Amino acid sequence: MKQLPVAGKTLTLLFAAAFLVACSSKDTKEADAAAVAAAEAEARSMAERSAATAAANAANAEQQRLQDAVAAAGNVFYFEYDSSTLTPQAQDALDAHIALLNNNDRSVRLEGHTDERGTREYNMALGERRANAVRDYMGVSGIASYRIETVSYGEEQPVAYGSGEANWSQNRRVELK
Amino acid sequence: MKHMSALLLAALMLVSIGTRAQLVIEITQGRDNPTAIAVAPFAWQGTGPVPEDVAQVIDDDLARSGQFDPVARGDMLGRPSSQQEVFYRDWQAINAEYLLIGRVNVTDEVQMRIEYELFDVARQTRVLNGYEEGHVNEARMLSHRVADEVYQQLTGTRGAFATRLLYVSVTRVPNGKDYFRLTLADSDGARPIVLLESREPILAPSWSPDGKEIAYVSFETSRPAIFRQDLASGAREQLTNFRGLNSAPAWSPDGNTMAMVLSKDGNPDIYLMDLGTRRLTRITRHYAIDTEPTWMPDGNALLFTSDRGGRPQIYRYDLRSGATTRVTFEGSYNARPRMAQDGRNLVLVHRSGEGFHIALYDMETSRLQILTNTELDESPSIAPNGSMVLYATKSGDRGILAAVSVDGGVKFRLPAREGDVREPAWSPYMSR
Amino acid sequence: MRYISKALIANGLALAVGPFCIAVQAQDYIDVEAERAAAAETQPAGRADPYGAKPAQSYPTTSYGIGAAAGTQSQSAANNNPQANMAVADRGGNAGQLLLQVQQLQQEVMRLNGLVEEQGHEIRMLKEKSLERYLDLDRRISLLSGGEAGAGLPVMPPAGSAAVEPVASANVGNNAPVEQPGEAQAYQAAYSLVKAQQFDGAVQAFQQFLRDYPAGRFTPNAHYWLGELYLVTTPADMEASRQSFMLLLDLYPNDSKVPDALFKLGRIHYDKGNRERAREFFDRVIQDFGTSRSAAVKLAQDFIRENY
Repeated sequence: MKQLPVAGKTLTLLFAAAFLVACSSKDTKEADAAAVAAAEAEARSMAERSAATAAANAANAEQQRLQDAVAAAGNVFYFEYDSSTLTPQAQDALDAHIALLNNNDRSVRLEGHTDERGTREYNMALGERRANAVRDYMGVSGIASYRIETVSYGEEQPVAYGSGEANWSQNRRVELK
Repeated sequence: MKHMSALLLAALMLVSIGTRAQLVIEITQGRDNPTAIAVAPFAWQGTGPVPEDVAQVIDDDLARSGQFDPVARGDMLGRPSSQQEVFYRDWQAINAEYLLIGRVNVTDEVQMRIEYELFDVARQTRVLNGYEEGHVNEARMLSHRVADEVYQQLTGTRGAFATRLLYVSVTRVPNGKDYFRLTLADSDGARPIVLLESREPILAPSWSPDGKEIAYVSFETSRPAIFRQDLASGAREQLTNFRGLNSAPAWSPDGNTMAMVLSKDGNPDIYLMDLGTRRLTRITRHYAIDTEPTWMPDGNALLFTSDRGGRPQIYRYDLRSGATTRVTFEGSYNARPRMAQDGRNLVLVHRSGEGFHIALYDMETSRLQILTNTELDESPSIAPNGSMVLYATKSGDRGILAAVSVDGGVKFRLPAREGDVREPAWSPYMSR
Repeated sequence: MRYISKALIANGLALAVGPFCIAVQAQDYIDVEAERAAAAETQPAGRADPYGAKPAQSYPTTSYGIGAAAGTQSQSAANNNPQANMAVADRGGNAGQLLLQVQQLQQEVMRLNGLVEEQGHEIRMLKEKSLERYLDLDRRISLLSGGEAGAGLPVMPPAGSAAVEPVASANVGNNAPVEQPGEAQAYQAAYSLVKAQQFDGAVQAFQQFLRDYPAGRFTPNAHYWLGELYLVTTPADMEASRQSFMLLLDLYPNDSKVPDALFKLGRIHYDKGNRERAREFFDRVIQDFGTSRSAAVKLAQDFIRENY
């Protein structure tokens, strides 16, 4: 888990690098581009205006599609016993959330939970490990780390009271809020 | 200080709720051959109603230890309260091995004095006498002290009745947020006082070595934070507010340092906080979970739980050499160590089969002995005299507290009248 | 372990960064061809087989992409383009796979770490118990076969042991034990095993000797030799050795082997890490036997000079 803040920084650097490349190449072309740009500017703005309405409609439709996908995926991701590995189902659900989050600038809170088995403090750590697994997956998928807050509740806030796998499996979860 | 007054107020208002959550003790298993002792009702020499049935408190303490089998009052042939009134044959007749008598007086309506005398019935001699004095509000604590003296005289081990417990009780609110309460009670579960109530989780209560302060983790800020609270004044202080986990506070034996678990640097590791300077020292540095620190009595080493070996096991960190060594090898799950004052008996949560049990690990012989047979036992806390282990377990769907002697011979339960009770923390010996 | 984990993390990062370069580029420039190529790479590396992902293969498209993409399209346009965003998510998924791999590797390292800890522990336990078991077996075999000592395995000769005369020394104690019938032969037989460097056999022979002659003339010597032998058998048993030497000291305080035994006790404590206790024994050799001609005195003096 330790590598993630580092990974985040590395990625930020990469972004920065990409922009630098973009800027410097722009500079070299500046002289040529300036003349052409003036001529093209008006024509482009005309085209853009008409395209904008269509694009906005398309964007809205896309936004709706993403939200529907998120609603279908749900905002709870379940885990195996004593595991913080994302299940394929959880990954699919998360992908839907990530697609939406890449389309807005909302912040999310990830709450990690465990079942009642095992000691409370260990479960507190396990809940965090689960929340972090989701956070890290989102992080490498391009969601900035400052948009994600994680907190572990361990076994303190079960959804299903009582013992037995039927209850336990519902409690081993990360909730996205 | 703002916190403090608000908290005091909250505590006062909540005393009534606390009384409902009082723990009741049921003895489930005793020793084969307990010592028969008769605790005659103590003579009341004051005026007005008797403030407390001192003899009954002592009687219950001794019975709960499992090492004594108190004689029922109905079987007693006399009610002596002074040496002249003691007729040994009366007690021999009902097979009492020892007899405890006493007198209670209250002066100026506040100052209570309990005088007591202990007799060996077979040898027909007085083996112990003394008195306890204090505020009448502390009648039960004074009685526990008498029980401590008797226990020490007859077993050779210091008594731990005049100690206190911390525990967390939870009242479920269907379709809503639960109520969490941090409660302080006498070692017999009596006189509960709610120290903190919250709709967010409270956990990991622990004691300062002098028994005057406590530390715990509260989610009241919607994130975990470690708090420290003075019992006498109610003043409290938030010690940590780091990103990630802030948990498992454990006071060092000298009271100057607190071990804790923080994940601010990426994953759960053990840190030491100098309580004077607030300076943090990182003790473990591993991508595994390191948690549940506890101190060796000499203060030179910490024990903690880590899954750096793939499964949770107990490790020992030597503060002088900085070396970490694995302690437990038996079984796939050993966690939440708590050390007895002898530096030898370690209680922990041990998984065997599908169940989590309380086990005793002997640091010298490396032997592991499972003490409990219920399924979801956790949070063991050992009495300051090392005789009993208090732990949390489940009875039906409810969380209750139970106790077992370190030899597994004596067991009793402290079910609350309502709510889930969990995370007991047995206090150190209380200074007078 | 710390270094391994760091190395793993570093590797994981290098891997994770690779595919992300495309994601960066994809926001600047929508190249349908590159998109398809990348998608073709991403698809087969399905979740079922995380190790199948080959991020290194995407490097050529990456370098091409950055060069071509520079400044041709605005960032905001890319952000509004759903196709580009889906591509980001897909590539993110790929990076996600690598993240999962790192986590799996961490778990695997932890599991192996646990295995190493447990096996190390078991080896320690086995070492401690093997001699115990061996002696127990030996005792039972001896009982069955009437005390015949089995041939031991040859091991390394004792190094740096106190110089001791090969045959029994005279006892100077007040109640000097008397030689028993057949005792000398039994002692010589056991001692010859020492000379032949058959230490396991010698241990058994001396143990049998002590059972047969618990108060003989050579009994102190037998204790002494057992003390020496426990140190050279595999595994060495320092505790058994210590006990043998202590027995000699306690039962025969006036025996001529006492200074040697004291010196050896000092060595044992030193090897166990207890320098102070060891020093007490060395000092005792020098103090009590300084005037005697015992070789142990010089050994003790030399040892102190070299190690304290």
